[in-house]
Amino acid sequence: MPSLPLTPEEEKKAFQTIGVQSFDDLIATIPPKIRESARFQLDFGNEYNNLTSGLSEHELRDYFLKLSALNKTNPETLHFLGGGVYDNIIPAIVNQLALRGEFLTCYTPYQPEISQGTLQAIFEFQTLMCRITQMPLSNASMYDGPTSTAEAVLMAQRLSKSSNSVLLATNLSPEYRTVIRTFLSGHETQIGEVLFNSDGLIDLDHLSKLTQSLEPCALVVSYPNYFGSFEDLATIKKLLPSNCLLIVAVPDLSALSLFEPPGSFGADIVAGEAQQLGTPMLFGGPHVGFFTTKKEYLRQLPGRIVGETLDSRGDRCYTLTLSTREQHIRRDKATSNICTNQGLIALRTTIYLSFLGKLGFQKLGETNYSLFEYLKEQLSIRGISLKYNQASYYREGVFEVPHLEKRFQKCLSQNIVPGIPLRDKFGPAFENSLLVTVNPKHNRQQLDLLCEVLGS
Amino acid sequence: MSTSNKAASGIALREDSIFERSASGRVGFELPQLSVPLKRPTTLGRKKAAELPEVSELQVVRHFTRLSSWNYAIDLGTFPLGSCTMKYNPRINEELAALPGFCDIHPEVPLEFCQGSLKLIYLLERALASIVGLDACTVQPAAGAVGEFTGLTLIRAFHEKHGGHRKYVLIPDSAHGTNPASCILAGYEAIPLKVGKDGFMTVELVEEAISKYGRDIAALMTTNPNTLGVFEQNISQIAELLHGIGAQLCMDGANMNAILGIAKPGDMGVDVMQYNLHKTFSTPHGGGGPGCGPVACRSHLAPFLPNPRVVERNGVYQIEHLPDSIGKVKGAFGNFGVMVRALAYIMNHGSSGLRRVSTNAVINANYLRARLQKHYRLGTNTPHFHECVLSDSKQIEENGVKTIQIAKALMDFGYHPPTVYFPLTVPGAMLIEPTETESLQELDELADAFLTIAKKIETKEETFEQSPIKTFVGKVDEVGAARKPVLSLDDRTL
Repeated sequence: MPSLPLTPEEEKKAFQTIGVQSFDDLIATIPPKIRESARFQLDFGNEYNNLTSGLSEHELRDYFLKLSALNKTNPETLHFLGGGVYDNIIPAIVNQLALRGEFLTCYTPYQPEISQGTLQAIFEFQTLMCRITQMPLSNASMYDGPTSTAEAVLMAQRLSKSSNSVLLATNLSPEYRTVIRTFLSGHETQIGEVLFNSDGLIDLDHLSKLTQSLEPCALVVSYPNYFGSFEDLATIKKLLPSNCLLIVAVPDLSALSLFEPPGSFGADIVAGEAQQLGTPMLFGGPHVGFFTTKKEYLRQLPGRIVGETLDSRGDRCYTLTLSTREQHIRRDKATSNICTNQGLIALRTTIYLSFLGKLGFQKLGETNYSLFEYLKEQLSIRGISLKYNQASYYREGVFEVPHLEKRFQKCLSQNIVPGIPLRDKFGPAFENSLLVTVNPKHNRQQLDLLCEVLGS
Repeated sequence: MSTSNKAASGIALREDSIFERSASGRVGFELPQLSVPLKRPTTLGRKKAAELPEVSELQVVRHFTRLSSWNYAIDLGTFPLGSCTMKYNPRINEELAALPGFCDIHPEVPLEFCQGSLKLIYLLERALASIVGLDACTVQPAAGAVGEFTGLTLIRAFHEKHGGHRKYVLIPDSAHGTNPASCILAGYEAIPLKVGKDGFMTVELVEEAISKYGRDIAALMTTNPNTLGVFEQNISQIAELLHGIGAQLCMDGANMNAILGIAKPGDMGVDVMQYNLHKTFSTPHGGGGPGCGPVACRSHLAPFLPNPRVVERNGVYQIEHLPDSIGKVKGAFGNFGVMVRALAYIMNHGSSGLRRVSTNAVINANYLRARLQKHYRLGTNTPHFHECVLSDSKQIEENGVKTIQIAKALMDFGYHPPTVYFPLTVPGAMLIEPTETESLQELDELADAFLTIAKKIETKEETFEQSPIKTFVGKVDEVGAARKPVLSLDDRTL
């Protein structure tokens, strides 16, 4: 076993130094009954139904290559999937730099003198998140968009003295809503669901009614929403009582390259997902959540934060700071139980955004926007139109596809996954509704192919 | 050449923030030429572009390479960080997790497009359940803390379905900070149990709590071996007591690296536990994540596991939604990339190799303890498993030198310090977990460094007040950082 260096000779030497005869002497405090039944069997089906001695590196590579080949991916397949997870073009240096052992195999930077690399990178991540969302304060990352948004709700509850009820927009991703509900399940919380109107946008009348009846501490609204369009955050903010925080969930941070950021509309917390900026889809993770807010809420922020300071030589340096909010210090009084976060993925995001730069980031947004505009136009020529026509879109939207079930299957038979059918998520009114998403890997030819197969 | 001191000097390059390399109009990464007409939004368009840096590829590469050179990492040296299991991260696992067949799969593709990923999750959940002798497993939680929350929420759902909600979770005072924090998140009140100087729970301690709180106790949450590296030898009797009042035994699996193939939590009476794949199963810590915190449980808790569940029917992998599920604790299926590495690690070792992982981890920790105990007082005299805990009480009494100085001095010898001031039950604790991937030679060198420091303190040659001095930056002013927070470049006033 290459990762286990202890030789039998050394083992003997170790036992002598320790002063025991054998390994059993070291584990004598385990009751014999437990010790005797401790062996287990590893069953990996037909190939290896009782794996005792382990596979060599070559056998391992072979096994995993075959396993991964059971997935159908590019270039044989073409997909138009989004809804919170997005395919993206990843520059070579992102993988190469993030794989450096000094980043990959280091620990949480609790010891600042020997962790300056990670600390400065997180500081840059925080700066990027603040600038993109136009909010003044960011933490060091969260697990993903849904859990980050759930933490935003928990923070709003801590900040409110009078209320712990919350409002969730029903055009927020079903997955976000389920995760939030699960995170809130430990405490009695009244959750109001704000309906959407015939344009797929939040029903403002319903919102007003619910803010009056529930007196919520926060509203969670998605920007863009699950149907791909943008809410009028300025009006929503005006409708909210001053003690109700506006939490804006951004499931696709790349949208803010082109669209006015939530910070400019007075958002109190902006939480969401940055996977689409340099991290592969990987069947849903690891991705990276971000969390930005106003300075006045600093003491209630969940998770780690990096701050700038000086060292004993008078030079600028970085350290984890304000840890008295965190579980390792405050235990049951902590602002969150989060410990491990998504450090390495936050690093990827920082490398990616640095490389893309100010102009590249804009171009990324324009690429997605233009591809979707083209697709919209071409699909409409074939009688497939947007379910909600009034709204403004970024790179995905819900289309009404006649005979969706049949056409969906036809696409699959040609290895095209045309989008996410919404019937199971939103009910019978979405019988023929399909969420179609573009990404920067797409080109005109591929969009034309989708239109041709889905449109006939 | 003296090998106990590994810290040498060399050229490390200074580097400002990446934003300070920026030049207006410079384009870094090129996206493909647009193949459709260029359009821009007519409403809600961003008025002022986000101020991202404008740098070249080489500038980005140099920037992050320079930054990386300021980090200490497993690849550079021994990392005796107790409770964190900083073992070597085999590189084949990185290669496998980067396979395009895994990376390029969206979580909402039709099931026939993702059979490989579903099979991997199914196999990993099954392997993780059998290693600990429990019936079912979910790999959805994103990290250990989410795993703890998930386990406690399963218990909550179980009690609510059978007899009603209970209020309290008992937690030994040596527990990780995440344990009480997770209890609060799950809607419980954490009741600390004061563990005696032997470092493990007695039956009387639990009996006393039961007589006080009775059937309001939902569970007892313990780490085993606990955070002192000591095995909870009364665990089976404690489980019986708990089960007698309908309460559950919940285990924090942070220290599973000590007992693979040596003791199964299922045989101890544990009802539910979480793993940390980034500890026991060697997935990289990455400077603080991503992790993965699978939860294994007995069959009576399985109906409440998070959705969706991956199941196998005649060789085809499908997903199922449990009607009584607690919901979802993470987007999609969890941190899939971490799962790939963990399964590769498990298959690379096999069942006997995994047992060998734990036996060697225990031997290494005991070897270090034996070498250090003459010059450092032990936190407890009870036998240790995969980690041992020292106290600074001898150094404080004799020379007024504290754990924090010893820790910082170790940096000047080229080591990452142990976990310090944890567990809270040992004054000036230094929790040392060498892991099984360190050779005896490396352990000897580490021990020599510890002993050299102790001797210099004993002979009053040094107090290490100024340490560290060889590091890339000097002693960091952490108090100043908290007093005047500068948390982004735009907070800078100078």
